[in-house]
Amino acid sequence: NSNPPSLTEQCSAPPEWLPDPATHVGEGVNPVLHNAVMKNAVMNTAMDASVRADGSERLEVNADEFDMRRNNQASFRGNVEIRHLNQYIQTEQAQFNQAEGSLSATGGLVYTDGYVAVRGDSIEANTRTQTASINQLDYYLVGTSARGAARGLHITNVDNTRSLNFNRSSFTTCPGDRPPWEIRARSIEMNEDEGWGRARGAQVRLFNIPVLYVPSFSFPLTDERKSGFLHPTITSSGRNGIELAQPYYFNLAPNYDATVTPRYMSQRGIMGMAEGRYLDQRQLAQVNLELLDQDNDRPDEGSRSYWRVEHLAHINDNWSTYVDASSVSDVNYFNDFGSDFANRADSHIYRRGQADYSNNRWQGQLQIEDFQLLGPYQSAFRTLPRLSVDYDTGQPIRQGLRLDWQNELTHFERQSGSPEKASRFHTETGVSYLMRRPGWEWSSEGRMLLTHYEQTLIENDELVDRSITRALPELRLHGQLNFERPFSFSDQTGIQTLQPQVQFLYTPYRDQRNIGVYDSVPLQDDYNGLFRKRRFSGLDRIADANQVTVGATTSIFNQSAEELMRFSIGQIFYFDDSETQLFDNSTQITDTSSELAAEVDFRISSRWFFSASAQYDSELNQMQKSRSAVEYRKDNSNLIQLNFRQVRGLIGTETDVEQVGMLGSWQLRSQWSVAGHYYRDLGNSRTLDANFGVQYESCCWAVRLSAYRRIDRNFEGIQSQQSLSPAEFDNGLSLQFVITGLSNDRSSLAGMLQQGIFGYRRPFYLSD
Amino acid sequence: DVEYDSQQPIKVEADHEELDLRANRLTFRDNVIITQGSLRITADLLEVEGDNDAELGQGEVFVATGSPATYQQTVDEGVTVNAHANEIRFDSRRRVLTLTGSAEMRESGNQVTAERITYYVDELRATAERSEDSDERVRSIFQPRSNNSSQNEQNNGDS
Amino acid sequence: CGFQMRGSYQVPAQLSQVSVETPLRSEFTARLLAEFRQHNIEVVERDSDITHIEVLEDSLDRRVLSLLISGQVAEYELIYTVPVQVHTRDGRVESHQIQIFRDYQEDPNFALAKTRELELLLNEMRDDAVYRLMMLLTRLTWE
Repeated sequence: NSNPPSLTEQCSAPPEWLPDPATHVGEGVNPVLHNAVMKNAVMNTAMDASVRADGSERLEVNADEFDMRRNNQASFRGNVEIRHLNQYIQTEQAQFNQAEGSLSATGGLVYTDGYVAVRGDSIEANTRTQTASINQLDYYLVGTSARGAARGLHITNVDNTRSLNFNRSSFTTCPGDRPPWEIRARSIEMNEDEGWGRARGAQVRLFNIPVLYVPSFSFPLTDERKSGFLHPTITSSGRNGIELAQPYYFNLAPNYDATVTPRYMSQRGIMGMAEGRYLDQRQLAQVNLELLDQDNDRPDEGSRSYWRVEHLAHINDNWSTYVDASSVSDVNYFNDFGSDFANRADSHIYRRGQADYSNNRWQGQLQIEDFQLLGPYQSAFRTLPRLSVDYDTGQPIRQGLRLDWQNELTHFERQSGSPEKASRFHTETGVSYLMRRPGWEWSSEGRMLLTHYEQTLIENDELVDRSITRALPELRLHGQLNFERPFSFSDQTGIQTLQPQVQFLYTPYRDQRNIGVYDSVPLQDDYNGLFRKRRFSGLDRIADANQVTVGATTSIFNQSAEELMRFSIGQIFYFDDSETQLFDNSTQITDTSSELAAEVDFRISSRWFFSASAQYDSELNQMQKSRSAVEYRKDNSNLIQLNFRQVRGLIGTETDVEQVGMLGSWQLRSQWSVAGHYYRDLGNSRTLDANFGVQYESCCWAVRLSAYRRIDRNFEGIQSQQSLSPAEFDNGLSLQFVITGLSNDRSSLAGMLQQGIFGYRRPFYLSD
Repeated sequence: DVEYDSQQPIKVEADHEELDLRANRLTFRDNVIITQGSLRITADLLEVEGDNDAELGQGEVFVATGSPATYQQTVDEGVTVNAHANEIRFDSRRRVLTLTGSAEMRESGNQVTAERITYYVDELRATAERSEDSDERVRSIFQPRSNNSSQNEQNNGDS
Repeated sequence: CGFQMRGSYQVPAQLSQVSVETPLRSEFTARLLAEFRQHNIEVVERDSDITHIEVLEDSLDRRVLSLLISGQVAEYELIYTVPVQVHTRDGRVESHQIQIFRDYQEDPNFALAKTRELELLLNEMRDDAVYRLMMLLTRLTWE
């Protein structure tokens, strides 16, 4: 037995009054796609070749009885079928006046044109102007589950795009007579091309009970633009109580729109959220504002707000500018209200404004950077400004020289107005020679770095001016071999590649302890770090190095050259200690070799995936860091993943991380599905984040009930550097009611997985 | 036009002619051509039946059959009607043409096909019905009037 | 053990010429064009029998990997995504999401320095994504 029709097929099934031949016209074509098809294809209905005339605008009528008078007034009776271009009308009797091109039918009719299907009482149409008026009708947008009834419909056609104007009409995406939600409006306009609808004098009804009156609003007919009015969400949480957010979407013009969302929270009050977007060929701008005037949960404090401005402009081929600035009223804002632009547990907001210049050899940038810290942290350095000018001849084709010259002038100031500040000028030039052959590759690179600082530092509580210049060379030699061999497994023959690499790096020691730390911090030491030239970020610490790195990567490809497995391993061997340090000698290197770093990604079968990475300290004989994940994945809505993460001593701290996570989502029957995730901190034996939810989905609405436990971070009123107490938790039940059905994609379960603080990531993503 | 044609005499030409006085029936066979002014009917066989009607008195009905029998007449300046069917009955006094058997009629781009078409020549009115036995319905096709400049559609001969 | 040196540059004939469509001033495309130059692949105007590569807007996402006891984020995972559409010569259109992942440890007391590290990782991820796209192109135009 063929499996039951999927929810989407059930929901967008055409109503029973649409006769079969009619569905043949533009059957199941979704509105946006339909428009493209209609624009150039001649609609060839049941016309045998011999009779077909060249003109496609002919009108064809099949009927039981026909009567044609002198002044070409024709009338038809008895299951009359009229076809004209892509319009199809089926009725009992009709009149057609060829001179005026006017067609009329009374006594019930069915009309469809591949975009909208209508059953009505009577129709007056004009074949020349492609307009039609139907009254007392119900309608259905072909290919979606949008439908409704109306007292009148006027169809106009402007250069082949149809727009519909219903009056005294209803709109819903729920089939059946008692739709869970429905809109009744004085008038509803729909435009096939733009994919949005506009209602005036509208009334929202839930289970036939009028709930809300809205003078005018626009709503999306396809998911082409933001999902707008019709997606209210109702959730409950321990922190905010019952929450109801109802976005109003205003499609002001093809290139700018606005969304206003009142968000009611039972424990806090009503927050207003607004977003404006503007787009044209040369620039893109977006503004977001969120304001909760009076937070009932914290009555003695002021209003809580968030604003954000993002603007990108391409002035010409060489110049462009970009601004991304945002700010919150208090450090707990994201934790309490969440945001599309930040994770609940973020520690700072990054702000920048910049102007960029580039042509094929030169690149320049003038940039200002600033931060808003979301917790009791050391005040950050700003760059006021940072100017960089770089020149690069680019990589040679097979073999040859490459020159590059990079300059940067930066002025640093601390945020908290402390007198510490510094100006730094840095210039470095490098020459490299590349030799590349199919089987091997060799490159050697020499660089000279010169940096000058003018600093004002605080040394044992008094202000000291200190200017320092640092110059040092850098040498890097890198070689790689490429091996291959046929590799057969199960029934396939693929190939296996093996690419060993070796790199020698030499940088002499320079005493940099008098240089302040502005933009340097130790870099992550994982597999990707093995072949890096520097072990500190930024320019304030350039570590001495006298080391060689050895590594190898092997991959297995199947017959269609898809990568099924990749395994990489590598280690650095130090000939001398690296004495450069950040603040204290903890960031020096005294071992003879780095940790052994390895990574493996393995697609065991079409549904089983395994991925892991590890750093093993051979001298201390312990696993410094490891992660692993195994997943069974049938498709986006049916998957189960188990992952494990362990870190011994995060850089610069004594904290260990030992965490296990389990997440999954499964479709039980076509309308029921479950999803959940669970992260446990084994070190402190506590649950970090957990969520288990059940979802019931019907054509036009879905309800999700989930139990959750998540971290409730509260840094309110804690002074900087004070030791942080363990966070409490916010447990609760969340009921989410979502209106769906406009666009054909169901609100997928993966969305539920993403909401958790840990989100969801496919463990293995090599080849597909 | 139609008025002028109805005054003209009806001429019939054919390869063979047969007169059956007793049955008061006249039969023409092979390459039969009936003309009356611009009206022209061609057929393989023509039977002329006497028909006396109370008010209209004595008259004839021409029953032309062919594969197919054809009809052509200029009903207005530059507007000719042509048609074909297995059998064409022409009642000269009532000025009614009845085409039966996969009948098709064309006039300035428009076209009607049906099992049976009745054409009232003087009123320039055509009606058609679906026949009970076959499920073949009346199909009519209208060219858009606005850009119907090309007249070629009109005088192409019958298939 | 059967390994021998790779014989050819592994660039199929179909890739000797390609056409590229890309958002304005995208850093990823600059590196992709440099990679094409290195593999002696010529970038030409779009034509019916030329492999066409459509690069869409790339994006950098973050996912929390681990939390400190105070509830503050300890480690993030950076997810760099480049959606591409490859129109092969025989008319197939393959759309892929190239994704590169990196662990990244948060340190709120050094916001500026951590931002520099983020920029460094992002450029490394872009190079990886270019390498991954080259492998995808080789696979799709494999005879």
